[in-house]
Amino acid sequence: MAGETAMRFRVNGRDYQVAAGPTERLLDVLRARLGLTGTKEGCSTGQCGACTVLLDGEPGASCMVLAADAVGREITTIEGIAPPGELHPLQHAFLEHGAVQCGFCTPGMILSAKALLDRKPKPSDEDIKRALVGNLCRCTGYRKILDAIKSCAGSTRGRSKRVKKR
Amino acid sequence: MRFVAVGKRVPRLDGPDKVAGKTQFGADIALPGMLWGGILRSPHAHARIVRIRTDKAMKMPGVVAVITGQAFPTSDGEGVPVLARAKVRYEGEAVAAVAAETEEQARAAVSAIEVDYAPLPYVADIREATKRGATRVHDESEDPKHPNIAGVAETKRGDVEAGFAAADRVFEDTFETPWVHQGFLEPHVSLAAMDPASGRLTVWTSTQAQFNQRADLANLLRLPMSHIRVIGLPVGGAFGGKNAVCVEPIAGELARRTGMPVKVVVSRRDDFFATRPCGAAVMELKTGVKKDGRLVALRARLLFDTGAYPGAQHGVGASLAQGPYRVPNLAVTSYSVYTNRPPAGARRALTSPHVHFALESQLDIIAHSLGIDPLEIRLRNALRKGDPVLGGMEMPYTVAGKVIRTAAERAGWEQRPSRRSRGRKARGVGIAAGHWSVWAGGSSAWVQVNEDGTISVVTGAINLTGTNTSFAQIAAESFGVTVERVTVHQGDTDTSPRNDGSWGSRVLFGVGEAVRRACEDAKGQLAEGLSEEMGVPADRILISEGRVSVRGKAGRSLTLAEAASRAADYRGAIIGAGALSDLPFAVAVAAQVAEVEVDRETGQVEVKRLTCSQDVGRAINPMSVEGQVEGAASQGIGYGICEEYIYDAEGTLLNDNLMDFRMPTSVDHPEYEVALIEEGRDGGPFGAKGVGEPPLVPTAAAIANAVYDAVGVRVKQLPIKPERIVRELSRGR
Ligand code: FES
Ligand code: FES
Repeated sequence: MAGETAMRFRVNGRDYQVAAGPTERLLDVLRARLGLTGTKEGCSTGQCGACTVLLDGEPGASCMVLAADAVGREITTIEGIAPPGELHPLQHAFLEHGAVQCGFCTPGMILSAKALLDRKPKPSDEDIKRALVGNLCRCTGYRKILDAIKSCAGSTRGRSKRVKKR
Repeated sequence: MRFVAVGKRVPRLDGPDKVAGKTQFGADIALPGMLWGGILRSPHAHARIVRIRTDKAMKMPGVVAVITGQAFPTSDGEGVPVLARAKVRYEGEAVAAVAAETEEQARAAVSAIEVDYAPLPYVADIREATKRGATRVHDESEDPKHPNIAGVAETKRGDVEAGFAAADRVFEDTFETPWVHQGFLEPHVSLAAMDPASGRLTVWTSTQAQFNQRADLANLLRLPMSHIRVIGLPVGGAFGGKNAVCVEPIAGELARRTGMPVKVVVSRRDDFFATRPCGAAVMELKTGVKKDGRLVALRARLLFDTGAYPGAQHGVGASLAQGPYRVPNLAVTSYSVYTNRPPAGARRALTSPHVHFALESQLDIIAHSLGIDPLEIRLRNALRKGDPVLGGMEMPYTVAGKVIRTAAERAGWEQRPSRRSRGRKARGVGIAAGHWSVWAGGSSAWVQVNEDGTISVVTGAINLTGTNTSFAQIAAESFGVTVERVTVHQGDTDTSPRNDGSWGSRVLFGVGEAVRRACEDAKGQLAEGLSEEMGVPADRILISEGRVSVRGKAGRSLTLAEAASRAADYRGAIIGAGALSDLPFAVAVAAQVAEVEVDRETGQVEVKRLTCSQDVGRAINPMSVEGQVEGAASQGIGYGICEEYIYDAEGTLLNDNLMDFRMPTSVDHPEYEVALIEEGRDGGPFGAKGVGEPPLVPTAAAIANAVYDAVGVRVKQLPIKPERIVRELSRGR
C-alpha cells in the first residue's frame, strides 16, 4: 500500500510493529496484518458492532478507527480476553446459555459485555441492554445473550475457566 | 421413553470456537497469491446497456482480469444472469467484475469501468405492474392484458360461492407487507481457486446449500459437476438469504481466467441488493363466517413482488393462506409479479409470514366485529386431524388448538387488562397463530462406529442452527451413549453424501432422520459382524446403553468399543448410511401472544412481552429450539414494527445500511416466554420436526392485533409505523 509507515501497536498485552497505510483501519491491521480474525466485519460503517474491540478498556468499532489513532493505546480483541486454552467466564456463559448461534456477532458482543462488567460488575438489566445497543444480533433475539451476561455479573474480573473438552 | 441424550440442553458443539473467535468464516480465509474480486453494479432500476468499456479498468494497477455479461452465456435456474446482458432490471444488478491484487485496486478498477446506460421507464409497484399497459420488466411473451405475471398458483377446495351464500357475514380487507432483508450479520463471501493440473475448481463459500451450488456452478461455468468442489463454510447467519448462488460464479470465473485464487467479499450495501431479499405483497382477502365465528369460505388474491426475476414463492403463499384453520370452501389465487426491484428470494418461512399477517389480522377484525373473543374464534376454527391442509393434504394430528390455548394460558390471556387505558401509554394484548409445512427433501448421512466405541457422523448439510449438535444427540441416543462420544463433521461436496440445502426447517427433520437411520444401519452391521462370534443370529444381538448384549441372555455383554473393534475385523469397518427423501410431511403450528405499549403521542410501539408456543414434535435440544423461537420472533418483531426497504421516486433504495434498515437491537427485545409442545409426531427422528421458521409466522399479526387492542387502530400495512398510528389516532379525535 502506498505511503505505509511503521506503527507500533499494543494488542492483547503484546507489542507489534506493523507497516500500515494512512487510510488503513484498525480492523485491517488486526485482521489482515496480525491475523487476529476473531474480530469480524459486518458493515464497515460502525453500525453492526461485529468489529468491536476494546481500546483502553472502552468498546469501539474498529472499522471506524484509523490504525494511526490506535497507536499507543491498549487494544484488546476476543483472542486476548483469556489465556490460551481457557475461556473467560463470559465466553463460558455464552456457551452454556445458548447465547451463540451463528457466532458472527459473538466476539463483539462479548467485548462490549466485558467492558460493561469491568466498569460496573453488577449492572442492571437496563445497563446490559444499553451496553449492547451497538451490537446487532440477528440470530438469538438477544434474550439468551442478556441471560449469559447477567449470570456473570459480579464474578468476571480476572478469572477464567478451563475450556471444557468435548 | 427415557432418553440419555435426546431432550437435553446441550451447548453447541461449534460454540467453543465461536466464543473464542477461532471459527474461520469466509472473510477470514486467505490463500497464497490470492486476488480480490470487485463488482460493478447498476445505478439504474431499469436501463439498456448501450456500451461497456473495460480498457481503462484493465490498465489500472494490479488488475488481472475484467469480465462482463459475455463471460456467462447461461443464466441460473431462475433465469437470472450472473452479470447483466443488454439490460439491467434492478438497481444493484451486477454488470461487470474485476480481479486485482488488492481490495483497493479492485475497487478502483470497478470505478474505472465505463458503462453507457439508456435509462428506461421502470415499474416498482406490484399493483402498477399488473395494470394493462404497464412497463414490462421482461419483453418476452406474456399475456398483454396481464403484464409482468411471473407465475400463478391456485389452491381450491369446496365451493367458495356457496360458502359465501351460506355465511352470516362476509369481510373484505386488503393487507400489505414490505420488502425486507434477511438481516444476516455476515455479508456474502466466496473464494475460488482452480487447480491448473486437474482443471478442478474449488469454491469456498458462505452458503446454505453447497450441493445446489455445485449444480448451479456446473451450469453457469459450463464445467462438469465432477470438476467442481464446493466447501460450505461456517455461515454467519443466512435466514434464506444464502440459498441461491450469489458471487460464487463470479469468483469461479475470475479464478479460471486468472489461474489464481480469487476472493469476493460483498459489501453491506451491495448485500441489500444482491441477496434476493424478501419481496413485498398485496393480499386481498374475502372471508365468510357464521355468527359463531366459524369460517365457511375464504377467497384470496395474493400478489407477491418477485422483483426482476422469479423467486417470490407465491405457491407457498397459496398453500398456507388458510392459516392453521379449517376452511371448508377455499379459492386462493396467488401471483408472482415482476417489478424493477432485486430478485426476490427466501426469507425465514418464505411467504408464510405474509399470508398469516393478512389472515390473522382479518380474523381479529372478524372476532371484534362479531363480539367473539379473539382467542375463542381461533380455537373454534383450529385445524384438527384429518382436516384438509396445504392444498390436497390431510392434517396429520390434532394439536393446533392446544398450541393456541397454551400461548394464551401462558400469557395470562384471561387476566389481561381491560382494553384501552386512557393515559398516554396504552397497553394492549394480541394473539395470532400460524403454520408451516416441513418437507424432508434429499437427506443423507454416514455414521461410523470407531474401534474405541466412539461414533463419527458425517453429513453434507450446512450446520446453520446447531443441527450438528442435535445430530450428535440423535446418534448418541441411537447407541445409548453420551453426547461426548459422538463427533459430527460437516463435509463438503467431495467428502460427504449429498444433501439439499439447509432451508425450510428441513435439516433436523430430514437429515436428522437420515442420521438416525444410518445409526440403525451401523448397529445392524455390528450385530452381523458379531453374530458368529457370539454364536447367535444377528437379530438377537441388542445394542443399547453403550453395550452390546444378547437378547434374553443376561450377563454376556461387550462394550461398544470391544464390539466395534471385533466387528471391524470381520467387516473391515462399520459404516452405516442413511438416505431418504420420502418422509411424510410435517405440519408445525405456532401461536404467539404479544403485549405492546403504544405511545399515543409519538405512535411508537414497544413489544413488552411475547409468549410463544409451538408444536415441535420432540425437542431434541430444548435450548437450541428456544433459541430458534426467540430469534425468529425477534425477526418477526422487526418485520412487524420497523423493517422495510424504502425507495425514492427514482427507484433508488434509500436505506441500504443497517442503521436505516432498523433491525431490532438489544433494547427492543421483549420478555420472551417459550412453551414447547411435543405432540404432533411424524417420521422425523424421535418425533422431531422443523422448528426454525414457524415462530416468525405469527409475530407481526400478534403485534398488530395488540396495537388494535391498545389504541383501537387497525394497521393493515407492515411495518406498523408510528406515523400511521398517530394519523389514525388524530383522525379519531
Ligand atoms: S463492521 Fe464495524 S460496526 Fe459493523
Ligand atoms: S449469533 Fe448470529 S448474529 Fe448473533
